[in-house]
Amino acid sequence: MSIPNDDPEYLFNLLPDSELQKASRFDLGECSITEAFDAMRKVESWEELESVMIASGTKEGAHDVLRSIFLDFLKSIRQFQMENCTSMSNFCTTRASRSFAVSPATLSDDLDCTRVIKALSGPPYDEGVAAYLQKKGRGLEQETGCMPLRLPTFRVSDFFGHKSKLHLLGKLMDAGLNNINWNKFFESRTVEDYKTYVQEQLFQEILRKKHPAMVSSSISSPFAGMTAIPHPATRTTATSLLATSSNPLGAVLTETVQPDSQDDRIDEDELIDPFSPRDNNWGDGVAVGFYEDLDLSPVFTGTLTKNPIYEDTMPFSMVKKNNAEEA
Amino acid sequence: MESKLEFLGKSSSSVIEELNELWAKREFDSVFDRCFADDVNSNIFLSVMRKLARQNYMPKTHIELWRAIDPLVSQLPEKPSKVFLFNQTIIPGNALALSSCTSDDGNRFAYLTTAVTKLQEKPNHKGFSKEELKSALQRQNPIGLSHLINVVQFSPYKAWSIDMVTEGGESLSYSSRLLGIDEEAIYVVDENGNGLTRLFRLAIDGTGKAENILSARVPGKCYHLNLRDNAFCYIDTDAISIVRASLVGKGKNEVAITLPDNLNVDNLHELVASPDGNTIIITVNNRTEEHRQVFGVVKLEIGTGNENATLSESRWFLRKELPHVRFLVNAATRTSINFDGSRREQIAFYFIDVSGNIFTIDDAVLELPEGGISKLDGMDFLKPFENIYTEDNPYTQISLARRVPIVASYEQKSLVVRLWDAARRTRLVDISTPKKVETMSFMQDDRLLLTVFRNTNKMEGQIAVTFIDYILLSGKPPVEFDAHDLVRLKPLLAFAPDEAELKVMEQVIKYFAGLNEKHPS
Repeated sequence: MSIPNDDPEYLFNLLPDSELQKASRFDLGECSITEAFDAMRKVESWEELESVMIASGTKEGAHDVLRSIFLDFLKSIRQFQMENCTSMSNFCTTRASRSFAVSPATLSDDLDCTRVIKALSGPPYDEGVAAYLQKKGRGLEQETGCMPLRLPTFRVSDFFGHKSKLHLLGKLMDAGLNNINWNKFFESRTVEDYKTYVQEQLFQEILRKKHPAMVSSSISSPFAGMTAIPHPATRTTATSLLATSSNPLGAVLTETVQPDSQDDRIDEDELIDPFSPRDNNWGDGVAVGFYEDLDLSPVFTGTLTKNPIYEDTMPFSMVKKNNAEEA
Repeated sequence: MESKLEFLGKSSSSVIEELNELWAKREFDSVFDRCFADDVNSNIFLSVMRKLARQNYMPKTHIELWRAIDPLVSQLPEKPSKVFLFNQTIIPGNALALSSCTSDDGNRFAYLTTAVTKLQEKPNHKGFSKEELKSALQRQNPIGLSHLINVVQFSPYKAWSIDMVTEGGESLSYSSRLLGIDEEAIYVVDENGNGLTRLFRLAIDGTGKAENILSARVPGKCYHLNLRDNAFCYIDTDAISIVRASLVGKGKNEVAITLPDNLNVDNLHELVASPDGNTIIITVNNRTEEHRQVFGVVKLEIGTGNENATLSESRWFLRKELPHVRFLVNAATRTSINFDGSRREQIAFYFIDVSGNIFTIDDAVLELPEGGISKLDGMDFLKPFENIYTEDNPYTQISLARRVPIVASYEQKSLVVRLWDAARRTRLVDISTPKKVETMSFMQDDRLLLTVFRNTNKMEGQIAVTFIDYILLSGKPPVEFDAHDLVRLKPLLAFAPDEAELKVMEQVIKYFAGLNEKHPS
């Protein structure tokens, strides 16, 4: 099988009844996550790997998810090293098949997505996933490693069309929030909808850690109706507070979030900045204003002031110029 | 671990404390002015400027400088760029070295790797063969997989791969070692495990097959390739002799050496020869302090045609003669530059002790009339660099720049690469390394320091590149910047034009270079 160099969509534009699809042994989309990786480990050639991709990649939204899994697999077998490439990014750029020619940023995003998908197949998420799938009456049954039970688990195809939400899901996982609301994940119409849910969850988690007594229904949904960017002064306050709260979302709290419905809107005057000490009665002691600490602890310390080494290591072009002048 | 730099010229710990205090009092003008002193390095300078810009600060002095850097400093990252310190993505190919070597002029670097695809084939390569991929999938040991030598030439820049196949069609094993590279060939030593030591010469352009220069069915150690002398030396551990093979005429002769009674040949550690081949120094592995000897000097007389060498004189130096030295872990020889009133250049041997301290011996000292070496008094000719008072290290390493008086040393105990001023024998900067270092070498007019890391539980080490000019610019106080520093910066800017740190530094250098030109100190 030869790989056409001039067709960037090569792997994903073939018809379902193509010869290559017939030749493939698996449909990655219909596998569970662990089965998908096992399937890839069993194949014996690059061509076969690609044909597996082709067979599975005809559904809408499949391309991105399958590419993520495929790239993660290629990285795990260190194929870029065998191909004499410096990195996966270098491998993707120089590889003859342009379907995998992704930028370093896309690659990083893809690998992060696979990290999230892989994490869902094991504890502490497996039981929550199983409960959700049982309730919905779907999912694949898969034997778990530590229990003799066969718990339903996601198919790879469940994430087709939802890839853009996976990095937000990763943030919930990184914050240690194991009780994921799968309805929110799969039923959010847009990434922005899902972002609102994630921000709420993270905010609650920060509050729980920093001010357990403040977690109450009155501030349970601070982002639900925010239609305007907060005042710069309070924005800074929020940022400085977040700096000490290790907010995994960083500065995203300052972004505008669209409301879910008109009923959720509140007047700008009524906006409560959830991170403002004034609005939340957290008391004194938090800096308000533009001031931020210098906190100078540089990684380069000391100096080579007036050191003769600068003369001795004069760039070659300068040495040549000086020699010419002396001559 | 993050790379940290500590410049040893002048401490800045008090200035950091001072700046933090002034900032806490919100005396921003004082903070700004304090940065224009010679105890503030350019990295601290840029960090403070970035913070001031975030406060919407407008200075009362140096307004021209502020106007130039204000739009740029906000782009500065919190931490210095990693592009110029131990960069692991610059070297072409997979940059995983089973073995590596550099040319004497520092323009070529070669490394042995387990890649399947040649660098020159990459754009058209269609992927693995079935067997190759199967091996990869099973995470096999590289045995059985083909391996290549990736060659990188810096000026003019070129990178390509060559096969390791002999004239008889045999593939050299992955455990072969690259000993040296010049304009025409790469020299590889191969030990097949049956006591057969072979030296091969591979044409550097990849044409032809590996030519077997030397085959010896004897156990050997301490291999040393001297391309200036066109000779390959090693110690025959059966006959206890130095074997000296000519790379030109294929002639070979053995020079028997006499070891002191309590010194076993297995404890000989490293052999290094002067460029003319007349002086050989052999160090003794004395980590456990069981031997009295530190090193031996062997003087040879080399006959016409560079082939017939005979022993002229030898002497083993004892620890009691060299009270500050115990085990010289790594040795190298190159031109040394001394400043004793005037610039003086001569060939010298450099050694790094197990403690991380550096010593040198001028080759001229050893060029005494016959019987002269026996009259030498230990510490009179073994000259130390600035003492660093460290404990014993599991591993130390030394590398010499070729044109500029800089020596790099590595000390595994604290994971530090040190740069030294070799002319004045003083320490310049300590650089914390992210990983353990296996070897180091200066490349491309001594402007790059190439390190091969040692990967735990792996046979290959990752190659990383550090830019010496970036280090020197970072350690200089901005008030001392001059036009030379702009020349120093230009290649860095050409390499990474989008690095905000460099863009700001360019403006700072231009400003102070102009200022210093108008008002020379």
